[in-house]
Amino acid sequence: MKRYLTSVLILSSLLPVFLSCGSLHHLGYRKEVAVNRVIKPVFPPDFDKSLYSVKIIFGDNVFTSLAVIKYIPEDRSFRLALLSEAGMRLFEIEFLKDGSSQVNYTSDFMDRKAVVKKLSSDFGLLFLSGSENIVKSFSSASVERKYVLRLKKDGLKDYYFSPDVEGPEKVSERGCVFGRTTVILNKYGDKGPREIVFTHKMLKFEISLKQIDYSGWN
Amino acid sequence: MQKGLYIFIVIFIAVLSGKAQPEGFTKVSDTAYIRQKVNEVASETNSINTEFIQEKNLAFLDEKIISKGILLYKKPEMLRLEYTSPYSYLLIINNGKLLIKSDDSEMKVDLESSKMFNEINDLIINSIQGKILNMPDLSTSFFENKNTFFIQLWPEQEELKKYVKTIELYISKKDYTVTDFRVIELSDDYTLIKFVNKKINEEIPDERFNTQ
Repeated sequence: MKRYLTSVLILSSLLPVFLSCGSLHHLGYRKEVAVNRVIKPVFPPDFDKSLYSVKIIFGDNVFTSLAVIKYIPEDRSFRLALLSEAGMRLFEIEFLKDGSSQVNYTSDFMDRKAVVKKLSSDFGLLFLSGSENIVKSFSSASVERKYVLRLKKDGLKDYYFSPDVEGPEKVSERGCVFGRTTVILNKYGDKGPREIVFTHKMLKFEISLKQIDYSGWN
Repeated sequence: MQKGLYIFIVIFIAVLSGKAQPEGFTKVSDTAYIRQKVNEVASETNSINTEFIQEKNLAFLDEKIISKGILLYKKPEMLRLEYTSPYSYLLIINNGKLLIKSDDSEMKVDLESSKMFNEINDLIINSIQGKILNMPDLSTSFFENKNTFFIQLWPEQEELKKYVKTIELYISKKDYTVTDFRVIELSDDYTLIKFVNKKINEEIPDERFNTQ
C-alpha cells in the first residue's frame, strides 16, 4: 500500500512536467537532419544599450519599473538592471559569456530566493552567449524557412525563427516547478525587439517589456 | 612626524568614508541659522509648481538616463510627481492615499498600510521643502559657496540604510529653497533631481491631486 501511494505521488507530481512538454510535432514542426541552421540572437551584434518600460503581473498585483540592458564589449557580457521610475535600483544581473549569470544586486524587498532565481532564468533566455549547442532542429511543415532550434543552455530551450525576422520570435523553456515559460518577441529594430512578453503556464506571473524611444544616448 | 601621520590618517579616513569636504565648498559651522531660514521659508510655502530633470547614473552605463517631468506640491501633504519624458509615469499622494499610473497600469496604495511607501513619501515631501533637515535619524554636514548651501545627510535608520548611503541637498542662498537633490545608493549609483522654473505659492487646484 505504501509503495502504491508513493508511486501515485511521484507520478502525479511528474504529470504537470509531462503536460508542459508538448511536442513540436503538434505545432506543425518536423525534425530535420544535417541542416545548418543559424542561431539569430535577440540583440544584434552591434547592440550597445536599450531602455524598456516593464510591467510585472504577479497574482493580482501589478508592478511597473524600467529595465536597462547594456552590452559590455570588454568581457562580452550583458548587464540588466531593473529600476523604479524614480530611479531607485531594484535588481541587477550580469549574463556572462560562458552562459552563466551573476546577480549583482537585489533590493531588500525583492530579496526572495525564488523571485531572484525566476527573474534570472527568464531574462537569461534573452542573452545567447554563442556557447550554446544545437541539440535538434525542426522545420515547419506549413511555412517555408520557419524553424526551431532546441538549444542546450542551462537545460533545453526551443528558439523559434521565421524568415525576415532579425531574431527569435518565440522562446520556450520546459520548467518543472512553474511549467513552461514562453517568451514572445515582437517588432525587431536596430536595438533588438521592441516588445518582449514572458508568460508562465502554471503561474499567474507575466513580465512585459516595451522599448522606450530614448534619444538621450549617443 | 607624529602630527603629520595623524593628519594623513584623518584625511585618509575622511576620503574613505566619503565625508571629505566637497570641492568649491567650505564647511559651515553655524548651521542653526540655515535650519531656521529653511524652516521659515518652508512654513511660508503653501504650494510648489516646478519642472524637474532627473539624472540616473549607473556604474555600468557610460551615459546617464535623463528623464523630465513636473512636480506639484500643496500643503499639507499633497504631491503630484509626473514624468513626461522619455516615459509616462504619474505618482499622486493625497490624504494617506497613493496612486501610481503608468502607460497601461494603475496601482492604489493605502500609505498607512505600507511602511516603505510611507517612508518614501515623507522623504520626498520633506526633501522638496528642505524640511528633511528636521528629520530624526539623519546626521548632517553643512557646506557653502557663494550662492549655495550644500548639505550632506546620512541615514541612521536601519530601514533607510538598506537603500540609501547619502542624501545631498543643494539650497539656494537667494530664496532658501532646494534646487538639487541627490540620492546616493550603497553602490554609489545615484539619482540627481534638479528643480527648474520653480513657482512658489501659485494656486494649484485640488483636482490635480485626485487619487481616485
